[in-house]
Amino acid sequence: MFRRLFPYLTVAILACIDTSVIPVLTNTWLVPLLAFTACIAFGLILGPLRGSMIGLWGGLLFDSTCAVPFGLLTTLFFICSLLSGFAGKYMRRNRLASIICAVVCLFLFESVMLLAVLIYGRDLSGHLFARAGWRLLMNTVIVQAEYLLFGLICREKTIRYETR
Amino acid sequence: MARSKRRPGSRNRSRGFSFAGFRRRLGSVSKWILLGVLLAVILLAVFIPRLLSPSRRSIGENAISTAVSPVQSFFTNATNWVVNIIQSGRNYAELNTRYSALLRENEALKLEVSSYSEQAAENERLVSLLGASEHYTAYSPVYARVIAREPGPWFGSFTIDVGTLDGITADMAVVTGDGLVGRVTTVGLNSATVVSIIDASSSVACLIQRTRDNGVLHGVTTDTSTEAACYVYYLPSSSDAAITDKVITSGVDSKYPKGLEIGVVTEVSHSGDSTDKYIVVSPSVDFKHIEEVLVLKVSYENSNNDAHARLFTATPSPTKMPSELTLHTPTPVPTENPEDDDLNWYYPTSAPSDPSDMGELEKNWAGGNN
Repeated sequence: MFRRLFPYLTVAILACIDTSVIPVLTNTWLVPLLAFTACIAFGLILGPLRGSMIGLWGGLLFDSTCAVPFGLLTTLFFICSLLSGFAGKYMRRNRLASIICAVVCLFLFESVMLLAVLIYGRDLSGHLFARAGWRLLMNTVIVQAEYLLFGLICREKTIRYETR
Repeated sequence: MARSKRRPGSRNRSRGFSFAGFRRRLGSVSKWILLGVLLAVILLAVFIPRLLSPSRRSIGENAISTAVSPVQSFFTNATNWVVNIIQSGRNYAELNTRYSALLRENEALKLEVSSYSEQAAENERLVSLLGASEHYTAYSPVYARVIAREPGPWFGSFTIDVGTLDGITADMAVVTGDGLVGRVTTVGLNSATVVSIIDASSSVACLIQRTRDNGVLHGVTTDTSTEAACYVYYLPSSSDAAITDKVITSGVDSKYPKGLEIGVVTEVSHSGDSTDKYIVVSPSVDFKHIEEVLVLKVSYENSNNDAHARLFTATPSPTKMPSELTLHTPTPVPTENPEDDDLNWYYPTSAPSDPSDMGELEKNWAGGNN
């Protein structure tokens, strides 16, 4: 039971930290996306189906606090978790699977955010792209750490594709 | 033909339709269908209504927000609490450091203030002296500081830091912004001794400003005196000096320029005799606190004391004997031995050997006895 609820609880707590703790501590642009990276990590560990459910759950939590159109982050979380789930299923043997998956998902996330800025009528300057690049790098590292940590916490039974 | 054992997990290779296989395939697909339906419902429930009315929250959004808000409040409050504690600790350390620095700064400022207070007091004295200096411009006043004085509470006599190199000579008057202090008695190259008017050896020719009565002022202040005071003698018997009358120098003694303020009358004796009548004068100058003075370069012609009239002092002092009254000690001369029947027998007496050395009185005495 704990192993089944652990990912949902973790994502919920990380979403609260992302929305209620980090903004209080700092208002810099270089902030970690703990909930999003956790969804990617759980997708890599748990597969596409359960990963996408966790992504859906994290997206809904995030959408309730963000000012972007409701549903955008939910969809984004869902898609990225699904992609990471497929990556975890079919690229398990590849050591670079977690890195490639994290880069792709985070690139998708930053692209959607920049597109939202453009849709809102703001100008896209070079420093926004630079900041997005730095965030991508930082969150890729966080994905690796979370992948290793959650893989240790969630027992090997939950890593479905280990025996293959 | 023996039927081969089916390996576990192998696919059913029967060619016909199988419900088990269909159900297995449907099971793996149904999960995806279920997931897709769930996603669609959620998006329809929350996303579409938001598009239609952007300012209003949808039911789904409201439900999720209502459920999540308390948790987010908890996290926010907890974070603020931790941040406040950390900030309090930092503030305490910073306040402690700042407090120590402020304490040190306060001590330094206190020293500075006391220094400024001293400078302000000195400034006041110097301004007063400057005023006096401007008043006595005709006398070319020289600024001097007191560098030594006699032991005791009063400035009866003291030393100043100017001397002959500064053009100071004896008997020059010394004043402050408040009035007359005294006069220079002895002068060195770069220092001089001043005797103040309150000293017992001092005498100043003065007059009462209101009545214009002349007198002589003497100092009577000793180490045991509680107040500085001077007595003025030789006032006219008809003088009607009163308390609070101002006393100034008269200039008669040619030591002090005329008009220098001395003090104020505090007591008047009621004797009718001018030699016994006196008034008590409280000096204007504070003779317990003198730090800077002005020396008036007043030079009088014929400053020899004998050329001017003497000031009679109340205290009798030995007078000079005239040179013609010098007595010679007589030298005894042995007399002749008297005869027995000589009635003119004289006792051997001392008589001057040279009659011309005898004084007038002795001549008269010798003639009378003869």
